[in-house]
Amino acid sequence: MGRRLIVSVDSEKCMSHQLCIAELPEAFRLGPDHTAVVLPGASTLSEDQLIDAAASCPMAAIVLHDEDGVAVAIH
Amino acid sequence: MTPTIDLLTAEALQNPHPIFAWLRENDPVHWSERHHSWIVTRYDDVAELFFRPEISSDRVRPLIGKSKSATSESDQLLAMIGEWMVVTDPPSHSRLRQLVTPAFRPARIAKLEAQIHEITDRLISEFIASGESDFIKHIAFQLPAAVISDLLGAPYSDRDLFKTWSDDLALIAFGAGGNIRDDRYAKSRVALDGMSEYFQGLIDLRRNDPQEDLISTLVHSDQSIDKPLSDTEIKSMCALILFAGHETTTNLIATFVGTVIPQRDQYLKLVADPSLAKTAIEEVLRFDGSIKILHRWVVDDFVLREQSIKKGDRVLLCLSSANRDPRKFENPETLDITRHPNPHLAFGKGIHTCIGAQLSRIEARIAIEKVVTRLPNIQLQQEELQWVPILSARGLRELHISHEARS
Repeated sequence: MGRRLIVSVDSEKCMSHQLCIAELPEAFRLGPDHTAVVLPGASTLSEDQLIDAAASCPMAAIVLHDEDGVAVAIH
Repeated sequence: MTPTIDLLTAEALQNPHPIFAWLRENDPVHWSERHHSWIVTRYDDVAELFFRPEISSDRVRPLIGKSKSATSESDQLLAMIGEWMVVTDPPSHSRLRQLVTPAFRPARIAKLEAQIHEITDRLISEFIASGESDFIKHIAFQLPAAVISDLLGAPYSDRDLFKTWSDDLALIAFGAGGNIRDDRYAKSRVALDGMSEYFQGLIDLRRNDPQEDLISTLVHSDQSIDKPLSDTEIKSMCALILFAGHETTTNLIATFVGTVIPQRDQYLKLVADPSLAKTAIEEVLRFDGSIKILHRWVVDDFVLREQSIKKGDRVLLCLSSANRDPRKFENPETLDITRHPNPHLAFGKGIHTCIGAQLSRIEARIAIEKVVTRLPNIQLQQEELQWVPILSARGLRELHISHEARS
């Protein structure tokens, strides 16, 4: 069991490619302004799944933090 | 009275912005007999249409057999490019995209950065040593050609082949005007056949000896995904990436130099602080981005600004117009290299947003930083810029410069 991560989307960067939604529909959906929004249960998903989904974003718009607020490297 | 809107006259191809400005203010959802299309020019409308379910990107296949001048040659060509990811809807689109996007993840793209620095430095040194003035031929064309060859896994020495194929395909994919329209299907067909044979050779090589390149990634694609790519699909994808990743980036770099250098105050700001290249590139993308118009097909009736748009109609999404909409941008006709935020639509929006946008931005940023630092006192050697006579694309035909760098 990895760390619990906090997920956010930079809506200024998001261009609605929707790759995160294809990759991890449990964590993301398309919001009313057509940018990705984070679903409530996202933080319960595994660290690996979240890092993979964040890495799939061509705009690097998905940001992950640990519970101490430290940014998680996305590779 | 509505003037006749014709975006293919010599005057409109040279400068479409006055027509766009008129349409935005007077008839933002305009039916054009001339273009057999709806012309959509306001930012909010263009941005919204990227997400309308009534709008389809599957815009090539419906043309097969429809044109009055259809021949078996034109139909075969359309059938081939009709499978391109850019002209398909989900689920075909989702599958193709899922297979190719790993190659465009930011972490993969960032690895190309050191190489892009090296290639750009070499090109600029060669340009200085040559004493030539043709910036497109020596730099703006060469850099994306080298990067795309690297990415695909094709030898850079074959770049002249790519140039011919890319130019000939542009005739059909971007909609050329004038006399060159006549034999465009035959030319594009020869280009696609040539590319197909070439990439089959590379696929066969990489099947047994995979490298760190896109063709290897595609040949050995994830078997867990729905259906791996066939050789025909890989070739089609390579042709698309070669074509889409090349000319548009060449145009971005050349348009940047052609547009920013004559604006002395802007250019001097950039020389004083080359880190402004980042916002400056966004501004050039907004001001005269490489894609002027995107075509879309209507698959279900809908209403936009009281106009009834019907199934089977064609829509022209005018990105160049949206990006100068005063409802969205302050002083849109002014080039301001420090503009931020800059939510332009130059790369599109939604599931068809350009997958190579970040790569293109990195290439342009490195090229511009190096041009302003290594070519002191760069000046244009031509009175007026000449733009390509193409409906969908925006780019300079040629760009001659002088500078004071010593070889």
